[in-house]
Amino acid sequence: MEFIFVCPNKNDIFQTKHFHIINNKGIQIDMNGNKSLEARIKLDTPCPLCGNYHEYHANEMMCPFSG
Amino acid sequence: MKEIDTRGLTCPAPVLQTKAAIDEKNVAAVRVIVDNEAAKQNVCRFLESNHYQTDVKENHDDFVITGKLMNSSLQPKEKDDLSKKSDTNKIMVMCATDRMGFGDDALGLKLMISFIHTLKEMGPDLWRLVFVNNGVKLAIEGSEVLPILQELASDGIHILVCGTCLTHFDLLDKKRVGETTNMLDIVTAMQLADKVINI
Repeated sequence: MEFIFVCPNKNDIFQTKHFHIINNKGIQIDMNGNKSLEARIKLDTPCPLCGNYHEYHANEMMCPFSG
Repeated sequence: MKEIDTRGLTCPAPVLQTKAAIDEKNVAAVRVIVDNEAAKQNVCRFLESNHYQTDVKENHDDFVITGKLMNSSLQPKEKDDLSKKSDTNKIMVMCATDRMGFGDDALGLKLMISFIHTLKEMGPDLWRLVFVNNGVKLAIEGSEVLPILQELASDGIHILVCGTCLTHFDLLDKKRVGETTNMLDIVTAMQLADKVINI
């Protein structure tokens, strides 16, 4: 299942399923009780737009399923 | 069994947590707790796309999703369907309206009803039926073509109904056929189809 990413260099989107999760600290709860996933996502294959292996914070990810 | 509690997280975090869990090692079974419908659907779809068979149980306001890795001999339903139809065309029909053509709405509705009824004449070439914008109204309760759409769905035709459009018209809970979908699914289906027919 492919996820949608934004190339920070070209400011354009691409899709790939080749990524993995790094620095996964799990679910964090802030002072207001809001939960978020503290993790980073790293591409396993180079960005098709610029060739770099980008990293993203989990909060930067777009949900590929929500219509 | 690996268990993940993603309650309170918004998408795609529950999906990412699920991915992290099944990437750690080749887990045979995973249990994911979510607290909203969107996360339930998304986690199920992610697991199914990774060859897990899913089962969902409601527990008060939460959903408990159990994913079991299918035997290697089993392939996801999508792949089965594609291989079955490899010797046929894959025709995707996209309905962006509940009327056919412009000019007279009553005539347009009649034509659309007739069109949907006649679609089965495409036989195995009919691969995807996608409803967007006003077209989603054909897939909700009370629609005159609902029985034929349900028949097509039971015959294995994939019916995709735009989630954004259902939400826009406040019809999400009125949908009675098809899978709630998104633009990525629609674009992917267009890419895979041999032919796309727009209505």
